Amino acid sequence: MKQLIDIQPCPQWAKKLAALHPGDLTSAEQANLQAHIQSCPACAAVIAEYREMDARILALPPVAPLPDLPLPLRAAFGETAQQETIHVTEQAHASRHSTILKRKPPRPTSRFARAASAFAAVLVVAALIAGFLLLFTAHHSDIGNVPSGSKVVVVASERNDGTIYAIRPSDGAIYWHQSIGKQLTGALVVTRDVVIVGSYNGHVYAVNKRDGSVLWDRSIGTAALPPFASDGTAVYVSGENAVYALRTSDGEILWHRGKTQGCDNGACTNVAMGASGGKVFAFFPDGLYALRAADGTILWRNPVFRFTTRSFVLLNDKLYLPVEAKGLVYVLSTGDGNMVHSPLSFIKDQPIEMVASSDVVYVDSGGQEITAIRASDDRALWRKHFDTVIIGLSSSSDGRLYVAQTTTYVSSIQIIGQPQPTVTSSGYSTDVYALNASDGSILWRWQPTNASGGSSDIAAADGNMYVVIGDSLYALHGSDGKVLWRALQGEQLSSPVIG
Amino acid sequence: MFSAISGDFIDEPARQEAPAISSEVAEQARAGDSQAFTTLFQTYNSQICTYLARLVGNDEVGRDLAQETFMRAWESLPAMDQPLHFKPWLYRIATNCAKSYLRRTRLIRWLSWKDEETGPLVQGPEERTGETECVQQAMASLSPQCRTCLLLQLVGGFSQREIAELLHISEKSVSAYVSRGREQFRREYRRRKGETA
Repeated sequence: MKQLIDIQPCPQWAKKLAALHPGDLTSAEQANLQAHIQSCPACAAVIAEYREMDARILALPPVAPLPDLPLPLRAAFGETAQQETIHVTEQAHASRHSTILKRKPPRPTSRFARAASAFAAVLVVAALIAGFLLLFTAHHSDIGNVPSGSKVVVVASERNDGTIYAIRPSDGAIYWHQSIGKQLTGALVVTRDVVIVGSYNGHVYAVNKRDGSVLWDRSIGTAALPPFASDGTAVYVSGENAVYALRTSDGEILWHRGKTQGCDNGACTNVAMGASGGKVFAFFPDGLYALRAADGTILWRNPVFRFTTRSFVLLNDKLYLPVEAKGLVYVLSTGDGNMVHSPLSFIKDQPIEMVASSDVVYVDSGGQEITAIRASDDRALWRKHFDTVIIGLSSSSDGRLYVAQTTTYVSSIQIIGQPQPTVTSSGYSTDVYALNASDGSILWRWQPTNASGGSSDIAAADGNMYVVIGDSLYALHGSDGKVLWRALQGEQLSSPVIG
Repeated sequence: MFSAISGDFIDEPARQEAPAISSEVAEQARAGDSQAFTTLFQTYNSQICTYLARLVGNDEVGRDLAQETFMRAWESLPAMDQPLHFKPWLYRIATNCAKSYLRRTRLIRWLSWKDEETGPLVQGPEERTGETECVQQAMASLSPQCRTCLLLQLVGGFSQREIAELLHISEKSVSAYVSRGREQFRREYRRRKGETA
């Protein structure tokens, strides 16, 4: 193995060394940097390496551009090659062309026509304003405080205004909405009394679950990324460089673990975590850490499991960690971080998704089969094979497993005379499944008729399930898949959380 | 005395520079001129495809998203803010398309498996990778934010200030993302090259 020589740039110059665009630094800053580089071999080597890395990225094999405008645009522009014979080929599960609003090019207009157009425009604007006000009123006519002890469905807007919505599960009515004013990351946790969200501006916000009033706002310096975890006393927040424990009641930072443990010189990113049994589990670049929830003390570190996908499961003092490339699920003891037994084997190189419910871990392997594993002894209770792909295992509740599957449709045209078909459009559809948790059989399947985007994770409780599909939040009856309500149409929403 | 060693390894990066485009063309496209929009498409087609392919780590998906980007651009042009800054606006649409794609298809893998020789899984020779794979894997190891900022600078040619305006985040954040992205990329690339040497 080649010996690596680790070169560290001077910390105070690190950001300037990376600012390689000519417009990034002022001429004075550039002069200072050059002077420093002349006298510092480490920084000179680092900036040279940055340039080398840039060159390597730019030297990647070129990406072939689109051969022409997208077909719908060509059609809209009236340039569809009618003379060519076009065969539409089904490449995926089905073929579906995306639709596009055709913009009409402006026509020369007479003065009368312009005046009429202006008048019409005024009417249209008035109608739009009225419609908007109606819509706004419909969306935001809050019904008031959440009754004590009641559950709410909470979702956060991904728009710049950072609005949090508390929804009544029974009918989709909005108890309250609170605009944070900053774009939220989708990190969201609900405790008994508090809703806590993370933002891209490096702040964590807590609002009162009862009425949505802001309780506290704490800066952690970097974007507060999902997932958050909470044990009621504290919320455990993953920043880009560290894990923070914030006291739920007032946002006080109880402890944080980051740069000195596991992150070298800001290279720590993407911390995934979970909290259970007085411990917090966090993945850092140099391993999986178990931290004491009370004070952040390192209880153990397993250097082998530096990274994982997001769907790890914590159950019965065990951590279930999927390694998709090997088709394995490792089972570690939360007590010491060692493997409890040899890994469980599944289909290699296929996505592994897991959910847990009471004493059972359900593992979806490649969307082709679901295995129920009894957590007490990690033995398979049942294994269900599917003829069709069912991927997107997301939640387990009330004896049912819920799957939200988004399918990408790719269609292509094969133009005679051209060797390769050309991808011309794509679309997305979502299927929601409920499976029987006792044997994996499909109880029902539901597909929204007008979904325009992918699906979120599913939250389920008290016989119903909640999912964001496209631009709306849906509630479905768990027993038969009937739509109970649809809310917040037109919003860009995070995954719902119930609490 | 030490010199900055630029050029010792590889020549200065050759970015795909799109030819300068006049703001009138974008104005004409906004007014519904399909020929003007076709000109914009031809100007930015290659850049946007490259940017998106690198961002999502897949050429085919990148091209698919580029189609979506241009279709959205055509639909949204009439509502485009004044004054016209077409290129950053187009990149913002492209970035949002990629973000939506990553979200809906759950392709954001938080992290990847560590190749630990002493661990239970010993990396086999079949997993040893070449230069292209090393660069792609190092790029894939970056967080979406770092990757986006780095590619906007490298492929799009934007300064940190322009990226901040484009993404609606602070210049300080962009500086941190770019710095962290470069450092992490450098380390990951060297680690992989070290292992494969």
